[in-house]
Order: sequence, then C-alpha cells, then structure tokens
Amino acid sequence: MKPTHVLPAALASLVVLACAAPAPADVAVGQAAPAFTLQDLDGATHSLSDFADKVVVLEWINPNCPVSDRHAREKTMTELADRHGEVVWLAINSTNADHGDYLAPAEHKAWAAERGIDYAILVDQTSETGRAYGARTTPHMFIVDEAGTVAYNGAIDDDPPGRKAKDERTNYVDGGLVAHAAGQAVDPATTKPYGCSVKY
Amino acid sequence: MRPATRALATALALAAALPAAGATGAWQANPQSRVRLVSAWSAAPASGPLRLGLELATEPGWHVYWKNSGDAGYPPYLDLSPTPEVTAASLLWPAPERYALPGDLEAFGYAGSVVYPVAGRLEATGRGRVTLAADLDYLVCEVECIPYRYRLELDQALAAEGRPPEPDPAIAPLLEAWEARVPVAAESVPGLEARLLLEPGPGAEATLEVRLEGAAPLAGGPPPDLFLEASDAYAAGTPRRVAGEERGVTFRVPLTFLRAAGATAPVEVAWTVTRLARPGAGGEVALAVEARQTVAPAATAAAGGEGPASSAGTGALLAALLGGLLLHLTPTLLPVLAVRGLELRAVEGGPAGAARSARATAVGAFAGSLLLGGLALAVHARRPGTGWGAQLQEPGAVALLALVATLFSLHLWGLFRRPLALVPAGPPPVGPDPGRSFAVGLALPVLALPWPLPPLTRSLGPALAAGAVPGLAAFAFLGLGLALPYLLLAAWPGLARRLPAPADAGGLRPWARHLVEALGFLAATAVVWLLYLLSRQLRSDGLALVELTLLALALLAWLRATARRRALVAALGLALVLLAGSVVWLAESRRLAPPEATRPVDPTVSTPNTQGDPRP
Repeated sequence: MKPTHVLPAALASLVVLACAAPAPADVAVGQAAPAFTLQDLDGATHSLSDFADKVVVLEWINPNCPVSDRHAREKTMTELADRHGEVVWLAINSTNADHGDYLAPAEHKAWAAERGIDYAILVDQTSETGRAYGARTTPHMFIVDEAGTVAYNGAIDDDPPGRKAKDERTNYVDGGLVAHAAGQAVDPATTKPYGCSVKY
Repeated sequence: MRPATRALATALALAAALPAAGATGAWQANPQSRVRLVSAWSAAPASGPLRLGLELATEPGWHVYWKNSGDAGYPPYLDLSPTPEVTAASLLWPAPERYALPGDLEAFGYAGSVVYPVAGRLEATGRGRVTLAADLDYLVCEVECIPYRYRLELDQALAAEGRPPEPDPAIAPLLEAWEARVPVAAESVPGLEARLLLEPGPGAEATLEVRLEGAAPLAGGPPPDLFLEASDAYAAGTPRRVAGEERGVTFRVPLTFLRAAGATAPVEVAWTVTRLARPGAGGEVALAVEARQTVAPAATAAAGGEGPASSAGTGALLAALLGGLLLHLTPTLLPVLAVRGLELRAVEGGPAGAARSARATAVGAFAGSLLLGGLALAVHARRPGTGWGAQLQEPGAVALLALVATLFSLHLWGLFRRPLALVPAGPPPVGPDPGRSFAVGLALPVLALPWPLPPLTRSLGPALAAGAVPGLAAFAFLGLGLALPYLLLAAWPGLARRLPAPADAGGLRPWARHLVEALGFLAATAVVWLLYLLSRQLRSDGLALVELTLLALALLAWLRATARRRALVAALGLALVLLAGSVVWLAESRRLAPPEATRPVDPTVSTPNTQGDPRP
C-alpha cells in the first residue's frame, strides 16, 4: 500500500467498523417478510418462498431456554399448530454454535421427539434470519400471510411467567390466525415478546 | 462512596445482620438469587398505606428486571391476593441499569441487590399479627435465564390499640433509600422541562429526541441514561446522549415502527431518565424522572420540506458551513492551514501555480466531505440517530482516530514525510503538485472527525434523518466550509505572498521548521483529547493497550527516520499494523469495555448456601 493511501484506507475501515455490528432490524407489520432458506434438523431445505400461498407461523426456539421449553412442555405451540392445520408452522433456532445452549442436530431431534414436536425446526447457523426479523427472545412469534407480508410480530401470549391456566391466557398467535382466516385485521398486530434472549 | 450509597450499604449491612424475623420474611434462595419480603414496620398500623418491599439479591453476573425488561426477559410479577387484608398492591420500579447481551441485545434491570417498593393498603382487623403472603414469579438472567416461582410470607406484628406504630430501625431506612430511587414525575421537578421531538426517517425508521431542559447530570459516576417503556407501536434502539450540551440533558434514540406505515400518527412515549442531580442537593444526590408524553412526528421531514421545513433546512446548511469554517481552528486543521499557507508561498510558478495547488486542496476537501456524507448516510441507514459525534461514541473509531492523530503529529515533527508530504523537505522551488494538494484536501474531513463542534452536532444528525438529499447537502456545505480558506487562497494567491518565505536555497529555514514542529504539539493535543474520551469507554488495561500501540507507532516513526535497515522497518511496520488492527477490533467489539453486566455485588450481601428449586 502506498503511504498516500493510508487515509482513504482509514476512512474505509471506519465504514467497516460502523457496519460491523448492526442492531437487529425489527421487521414491521405490513412489510414483506425477509426471505430465508434454511435447513432443518434432517438437512432438508425450507424456503419461505416455498409457502408463497400459505400462512406461515415462525417461532424462535431454544430447547435450553426455560421459557421456550416451558411452552414445549405445555404443548402451547404443538396444540396450536394442530388446531390451525392449514398453517405452515416453522421453528427457527438462531443459537450461535459457540454458545452453551447450542444443540447438535441429533440432540435437538431427541428433545423435539420427547416434547412431541412434529413441525420442522430450522437451524439459522449464521443468525442472519434471526437478525433480519429482529428476533429478540425465545419464543418470539411472527405470522406471515399468504402475500408474504408480516401480519403479527410479538409474544405468544399475555402470560410471560406462565402463572395462569392455559385456557385463561390470551394467545395472540391463535387470535391472529383466527382473525386472519376470517378476513379481519390481526389485532393486536404487535406485542412485546418475552423470554430468554436469542443466543446470537 | 457517595453519601446515598454509603447509607444504602449501611442499611444493607444492618439488614443482613438481622435474623429473618420481625420486619423481614424468610429468604427463598436458589443458586442465582434469593428473595424475601421486607416491611418498614416492626409494629405496623392496622390500617394505612403499605410499607412493604420485595428484596431480591442476585449472584455476580446475574440480573433481574425493570418494568420493561428490554430486548429479552420479563419483569417480576408479585401477586398479593393471598392476603385479603391488602388491597390495590403494585410493585414500584427503582431506576434501572442497562446490561449488554450477545447479539446487540440489551436488558434493563438490577444486579446485586434491589428492593422493589410495594404500594398498596393494609386493612387488618387488629388481632396483633397479620401474615402477608404473596406469590412471586420472576426471571433471573445472566445470558442464561431461569424462571422461579415462590410463595413469600412475612409475619407482620401490628401496633396494639392506642399505641403508635414502630418503624423497623434497619428496614425503614433501606426501604426509604430504594423509594428514593423510584423515578418521580418530570413535571413535579421545579425548573425541569421535558421536550420530545420525533423525526421520521426512511421507511419505518424514526429518531426520537428526549430533551430535558434545566436538568443536570449527577456529579461523578456514570452519565445519565434513558429508558423507554415497552410499546406496541415501536421498538427502540440504544439511546445516545447528545454530546457538548451545557444546559440540560438530551438523548437521541432510534425507533423502528412496528407498522410499515412508520411514524405518521402521534405516538405515546413513556420514558425514564436516570442519574440526574436532584435540584438543590449539591449535585451529588441522584434523581430519576419519568413521564408519559404524546409526540407527533415533526414537520421537518414529513413531506419533503416546504415553508417552515425548508427554512429549517437552510439553517442546518448554514450551520454546517459555519461548522466547516470553525473546524479550521481545531488543533488538527489549524496546522494544515498554516503549513499550506507557507507552502503556497514557496510554490514555483508564482501566483498561478499557488492558485492551482490551493484549488486542488479545496476540491479535495469538498470531495472528502461528500465521501464522508455518503459514509454517514450508510451508517445512518443501519443506525438511525447517527449524526456528527457518533464516531466519538464508538471505542474502535476513537482508537482509530487516535492512531490517525498520532501519525499526523509525527508527520509534523518530521518523523514521517508521508502520507501528506505536507512539510516541505527539499529546497525551493517546489513544483505545483495538484495530486498531492488534492490528497491533503481529502484528509481534511478525516482530521476534522475528533471535534464535536456544536454547529455540526446540531445540524448534521437531523439532516441525515431527513433523507439522502438533505443529508448530502449538509455534508456538501460542511465541505464548502472546509474548502473556503483554500478557495480564498486560490482567488487571491497574493495573500500567501504576504507571508515570509519559509525556505531558501538551503532548504527549510530554521524558524519555519520550528513552527511546523510546534504545530505538531498542537496536533498532539488531539491525541490527548481522544485518549480522554477512550478513558471513559474502555477499561484501564484496554486504554493502556491503545497507548502502547501509539507509542509503538512513534517508535516505528523514529526508526524509519534514523535507521537504514529497510527490512527491520518493514517487519516492525507489519507488526504495528497487526497490533493497531487488533486494538481497534478489540475496542470496537467492546472486549475492552468496563464489565457493566457483571458489576460486583454488594459485599454485605452474603452468598446463599441453600439450594433452591427451579420451577418444574
């Protein structure tokens, strides 16, 4: 590098530095859902675009997060997925492979089998998808409508500590799916997600 | 230790020394934390306001939550319905702290020890005692999170009929200390005025400005912080304090609206600002204030700017121009102007050659400012709320600027002839050299980065928020301000002729060389300023690492200037580039930052040794 190029190089490093750690982008309701292509625990590939004419529910998941695991034990998600059979349910795990919470596919599958989870669990190894959606917590829920637009972004229900009986909770995803199927607007369309932080 | 902290520590020590009876309930403990109810009364009035607290103590590194837990977690839920004598019970929320989690996530809460005051009313029938029972759910997190559920009980003695109630000598001051940390309504603070401004940005982005006029930061300790309550309308990013404010405390915080329409309608913002100085208390007593305000999107950028909006835009452009001009008085740009003036005096080809060189520098300054503007727009797209001054809040960028400023000082001291070759080395006549003059101009905006001049901090951020065209326009005017002195020299090259000739046939005259070297010391004050900034952003060992790198840079410069062994210099240069790169990377990735999330727990809180049960 010729010495005269030092300052432009410094300027360029500033660009790199400033862009190196973007905060998670929050995907807004009404915006196009960010596209993704991820592998499930069996290595099969799933793309959001595969389900272009369907409603898709995205659930950020982490078996080692007690809040995510509580919902798995209580069958919050599996029962809801069964209740809305026409909806594509995808769980996404954005846990960094260096983090203690990370599970190898075999262990992850064993957990899913134990909890009776039969929907696909996608591995977001680069955490790119998690950041594109602004996924903050496990669980963090999104509803993507038939047009590929985000219709809901937030918590699964109104009971973060799980202190109410299951049928006394307001399940926002259930309410959103019912409203959407009836041609109504999803309300509330946004809530504050709760749970463990996504282990980026 | 501040008086309030000392009082709190004393109160905690007293509380820890007491058995779990009387005004305290039994601890419920788990490996990460322990929790109990505490009462300010050893003998409570049978009827009256509750003076109860929920005391939570966490192990080092673990935290529990404020009412808005931040990006993850959830706040504690306390349910007093098992106690029929208590009505209208609710938790109060002392001023929180901010904890960084991996992935640029943040949590708001408390580490070490916290007492959440419990508001409510007690209506006992006066049988001597009442059992205060409550169900608690809470989440304690490090990076991991563990939920716990307990039934907490406190056996509260009641004052006998006709006897006055007795405050507990240990718990009453403890509870009062924590009650004092609960934010007060901003409008109740005399002389304080809170103004909110919402600047819509591109798409669903916006920047919220929270300005507290008449507020002062707490003396000593960490600076004030802003916390927003959770909203269904927007997600909030990390607030940045606006630097260089004399009266008041201002924060700018990027918002992302959760509806694609963005900021079109007024939104409700519930905010808390912590670590202000309590008025009339000598600046050392902390005050937190809160308010819930509705803010409409500002007209400035709403519709592309007509009428008052465009006049506000003109103001920003003039401020940028003024800022660009004022930058020439800063320790890094003044030497450039002085040396260039002398240099132009010596340019061969007389006034015409000098004019050409000066023009090239002016064009370089303008082009460099536009490049910087493009860079700022790119950063702003990723981090709304960025303005002039944001570069000084990133430890990596500050470390890099310190390296640049050091290089510049060494250059003026004559140890590096390049990169700018600003200092004339040989005897005159110096040929006109438009390429080099252009490079000097290009460097001006970079050398200007360490200086958060108010005209620039006030104007460039809002201009960037208003979109690409106003943003670039503001940077163009900044460039114009930077170019102006050189344009003057180009228009009237005779100006430089009035300066004494800096060189003769023997080379640079001694007085000129001494002047340039003295200007090197002026430039070195920029390094001191940047290290001062870093000292507030890095741990002391991190700061030492940066300083060692600067020293190594100086060593290399000296070796280059004196030694003739090219290979040695090249190897050292490579080692230095690696060292500098890793220091900047370490600083930027906050590996050198003070460990905020693991502040030491108050030593007066002993470690619980009973194993608690996580909820099944």
